Amino acid sequence: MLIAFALVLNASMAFAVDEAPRPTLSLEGMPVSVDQEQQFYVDVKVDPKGASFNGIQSTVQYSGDTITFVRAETGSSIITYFVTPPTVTENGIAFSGIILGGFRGLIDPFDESHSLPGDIVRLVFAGKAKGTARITTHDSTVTANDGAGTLQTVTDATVSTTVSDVAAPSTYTPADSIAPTITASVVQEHDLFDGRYTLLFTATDKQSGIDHVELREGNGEWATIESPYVLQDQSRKSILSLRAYDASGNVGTITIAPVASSSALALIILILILIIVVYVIYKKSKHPAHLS
Amino acid sequence: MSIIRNKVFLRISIAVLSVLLIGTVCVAVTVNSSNTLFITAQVNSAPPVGGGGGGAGGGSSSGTGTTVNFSGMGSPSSKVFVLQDGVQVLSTIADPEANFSASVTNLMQGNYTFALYAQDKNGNRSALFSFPVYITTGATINIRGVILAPTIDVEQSEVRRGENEPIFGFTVPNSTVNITVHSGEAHFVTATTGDSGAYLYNFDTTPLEYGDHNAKSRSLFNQKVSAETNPVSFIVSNQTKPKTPSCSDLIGDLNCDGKVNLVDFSILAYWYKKGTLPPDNVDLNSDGRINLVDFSIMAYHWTG
Repeated sequence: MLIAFALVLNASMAFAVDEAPRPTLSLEGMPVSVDQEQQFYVDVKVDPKGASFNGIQSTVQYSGDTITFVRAETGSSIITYFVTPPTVTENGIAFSGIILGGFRGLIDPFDESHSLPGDIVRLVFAGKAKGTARITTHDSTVTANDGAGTLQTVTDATVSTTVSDVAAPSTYTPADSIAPTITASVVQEHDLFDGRYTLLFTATDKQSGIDHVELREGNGEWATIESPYVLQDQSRKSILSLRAYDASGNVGTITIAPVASSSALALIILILILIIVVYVIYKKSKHPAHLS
Repeated sequence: MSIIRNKVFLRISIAVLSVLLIGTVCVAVTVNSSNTLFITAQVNSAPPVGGGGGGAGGGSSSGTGTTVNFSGMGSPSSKVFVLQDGVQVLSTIADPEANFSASVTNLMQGNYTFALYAQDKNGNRSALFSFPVYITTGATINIRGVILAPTIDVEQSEVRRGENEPIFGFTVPNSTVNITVHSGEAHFVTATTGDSGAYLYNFDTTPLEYGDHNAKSRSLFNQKVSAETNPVSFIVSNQTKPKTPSCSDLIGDLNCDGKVNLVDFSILAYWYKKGTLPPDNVDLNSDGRINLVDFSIMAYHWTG
């Protein structure tokens, strides 16, 4: 059975190459109907259709009169780094990002097809008012993984659902009990904030995805930030505390030690030397050499 | 003439080779125009199995649980790097026959993009060989048959028309290397490697037009074909200039530290958000603005 399946897939791929189809976006998971205040999600996916691309941008538009946008989840996204994380704009929910090495289809060793569409983002909505709700992708573009960033068009997607006149509040919460992980560093680069100390970080959560990241410099207030972030304390004397929240509320934290100033370092070394000298003198006074 | 085009695509070529035992599958997956990976996967709680191939042992991240084992060929004694979602997680040294193996452990369930590249003794890097994989909790996944692209370089940044331009690099020992010089029309030549994996071709520039050109290569070994190199460029003109190491040799290395990584991405993102005229070194396609195209170019040259 497995062999037969693979042969069929091979034939379809041969057709795909001859026709040179373009990558196709899809919107999956949309329920046939929803109630008002009922949360539901739609997965934005991309099927490369034989192409290899390493950049993608799109805008998702939705019927704002019948549904409301709740949040975006990127935990299973194939995008390595978002240039623009899913962001609500006047045109819809815009996003863009890159996939290092290019995307030619997701390999799942336990899935017979081995060439699966990749998740871009999960968008969570809620029913708002009775009527038809449409969700569409617009102005979607990918860049070929060719070293030149050649722009290629993408087949967009549309789905719709019916919002009933019944109010049945429900909340969609992804199953996730694992805290996010954070890696961060402080750099000084000429072309980055004019060489000022800048915090770079990546926060990862393979389950529900990162909701937001907060920073506290020293004993200051927690503030939501994005990478790269130019530090307020350019003396680098403050302890930097970072905490990342995923969409389920789990928190991952790290701290970055301040840079000790040269004078402080010299003082510490001096104190250590003094302690050692005092200790040696003390030991000699307790055990004079002529007694041994 | 059979021409290997630079059309990279994911294609399932052959079928399932066998079902070794319950929960274990073994498949052949073609990840570009020619390079076939053999992937086996098994869900169990047993210790991870070595990557096979008899190559040099690779490093391993700490921890237990879900494991991905890689094995394949680079060039003899080359340093092989493994990136996980764009971040270098380990490196290993290929053995004298160019075999390598490496394992990444302690992974959680989810989608991952792994990428591998080799660095030869001259410091030149092969193109990224990447594949997005869905990892199941508790699974051991063996990815075998990775044939990394050759490394490639040229002797002169500028060459007088009619003189030779040496094109060289490293790849699998005792293989055939197909070199393509791209200009108005593509020119195809062939070199071979010995036990050291080194190749050299003195390309006669007589048929080339004045202007910019680039060269790429890929190797053929035991009916296996490697991925293609990133292009290396040179200029045909009325004078010859030896190539001198320059920050601009590594496209996307905005801070000239020899790497293309999150720091460079952050610099690009900074100018993207700033929206003002970017510095020349940041504007990777020299169109006076930062957009997805620049990020795409950087992604192509990523080193982690």
